[in-house]
Amino acid sequence: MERKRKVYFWTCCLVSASCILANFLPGSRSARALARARKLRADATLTEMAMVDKLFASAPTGNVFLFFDGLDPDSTVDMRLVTTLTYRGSFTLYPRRVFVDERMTPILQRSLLTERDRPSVAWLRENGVHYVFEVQKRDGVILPTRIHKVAP
Amino acid sequence: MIAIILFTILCLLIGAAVLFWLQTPINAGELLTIPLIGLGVLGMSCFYLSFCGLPIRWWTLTTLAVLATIALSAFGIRVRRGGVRLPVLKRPGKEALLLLPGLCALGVIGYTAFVYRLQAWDSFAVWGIKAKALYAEGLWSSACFSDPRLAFSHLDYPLLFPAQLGAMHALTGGPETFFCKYVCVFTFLAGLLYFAHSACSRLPKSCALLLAGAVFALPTLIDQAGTGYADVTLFVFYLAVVHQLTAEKEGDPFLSAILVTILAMTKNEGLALAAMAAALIVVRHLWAGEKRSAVRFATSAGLMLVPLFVWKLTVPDLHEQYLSRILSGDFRNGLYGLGLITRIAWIDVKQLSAWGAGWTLLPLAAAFLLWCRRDLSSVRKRLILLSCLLATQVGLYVTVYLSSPTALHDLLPVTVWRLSLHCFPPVLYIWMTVGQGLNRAVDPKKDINTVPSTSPCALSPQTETPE
Repeated sequence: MERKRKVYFWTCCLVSASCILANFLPGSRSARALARARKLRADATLTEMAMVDKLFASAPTGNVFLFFDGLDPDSTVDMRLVTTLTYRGSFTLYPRRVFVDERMTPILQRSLLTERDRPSVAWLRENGVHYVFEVQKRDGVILPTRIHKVAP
Repeated sequence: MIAIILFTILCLLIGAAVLFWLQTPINAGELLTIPLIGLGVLGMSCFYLSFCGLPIRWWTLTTLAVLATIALSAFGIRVRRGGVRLPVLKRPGKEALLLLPGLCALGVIGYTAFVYRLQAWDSFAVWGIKAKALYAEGLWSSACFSDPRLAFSHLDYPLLFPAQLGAMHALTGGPETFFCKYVCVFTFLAGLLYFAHSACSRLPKSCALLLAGAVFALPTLIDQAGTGYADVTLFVFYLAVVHQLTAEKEGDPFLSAILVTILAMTKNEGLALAAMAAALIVVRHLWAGEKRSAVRFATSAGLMLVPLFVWKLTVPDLHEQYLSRILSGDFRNGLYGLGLITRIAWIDVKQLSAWGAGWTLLPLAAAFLLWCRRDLSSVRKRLILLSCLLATQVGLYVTVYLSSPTALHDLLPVTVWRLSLHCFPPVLYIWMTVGQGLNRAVDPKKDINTVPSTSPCALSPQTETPE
């Protein structure tokens, strides 16, 4: 019985050691996390989220409407741009709001990029939108975001 | 910096008040559970405050601190009168150094957490925005819990983690993305201390502390603990609930109910896990012939969960809707999905750079069970409970995957590591319970890690008759 307990103890030690040593394996998850953090710390202003935050900082008041033009709903890159701008913008501005659609539908539907017109000024005013950010894609290139101020 | 100190003091005060009132007599080791209990009860209290229409502000948190202090003072009076005796504290021995890997991991997490801020997807799109909403508007007036256009943040997700972030916002004076990450660091530390205590109550101290330090130095845990996702929060509270389920000394049913409620409030997965764990806790009480404890546990957990369910009923359910899919038998991914789930889960758990050999604990425990099954009769019931919990959990996760509307080859690679993290606590406890059974078989008279106690009823694994 004592032998069984010893086997248990040494097995436990070996498994525990492997968990600790795993951090030193090339490409370990912890090493990757640390590398990501170092990269972020080296230049925090160049990250995707920091750039979105900076973009939304140009809307100091009211809500924002995001208008996407020419983006492809089948493109992963384009959809990622849509989600990044919407989700991060919503977080950054909250409790102010980011709208992407005039309808009360959950976002991220294909129709968002395929069947849409510009919102009417009356709707924008009614919903307290002060700025419209227009994200355009022309000939496969995303153009710099155009910012329109909604007349009060 | 002051906010960090205040947050720590608040958690310790609340944790100590809850533990001293519910778990007397206690031993010195149980003091290590104070931070985790305090952190959980703080989050829960902030949710209840919001549910009652009160804002999460410095003055409401001060009220909580005052209430905790009053409770502690009343406990102090009981101690003075000689009704209760305090545990004798001892200097930690050299074995405490075995926790060093976990503490080094804590350093890495401190660094990554404060550098990342809220940059990871779920940290801002799900939890960060809810924390802002809870802090700025409260539970009932915020669009964050009602407007379908914000459905990307999962309107109906339980709110423990955002409530903890909201408490940090209240202490810093407003929503920000730097100091609130202290919640992640504190969660990790509190989880480490809790698990160290839990392991020490089952295994010889050196083995227990080595295991605790190693588990909290797992690359997957280090990777995720700093990001601001709620999975590590779920992991540590699930550890606490599984500890309660399989503890040698059956804890106070009310404390078990509090921990189950906290788990249910952590994530949607936590809600399912809490239901499973609660059912098994009731079974354990009934097995032990303690009907009254079972009723006390079920009643108090049910009552504490009422606000969560009342609130959830008011929130539009726009995402996933797994329950209705499962109930209607909509398993759109079929057998093909089952193969894919097994393959990707296997790829994840066998990754040495992610888990070390952590997952080998399950087959190793099974091997020990076969090898020493006669010696493990004293822990047989607890092993059955844990195996049921693990099997139900894995079954539930597989069922949810099979009914998922999202393509599995997109969904699995980004979620499977989280679910394997959720499944790890029962595996750890199965392993430790096997070790406890072996220890007891070798030396049934000797107390493992005798913790100096002033009470005859203090934790003593050998005082209970074998199951």
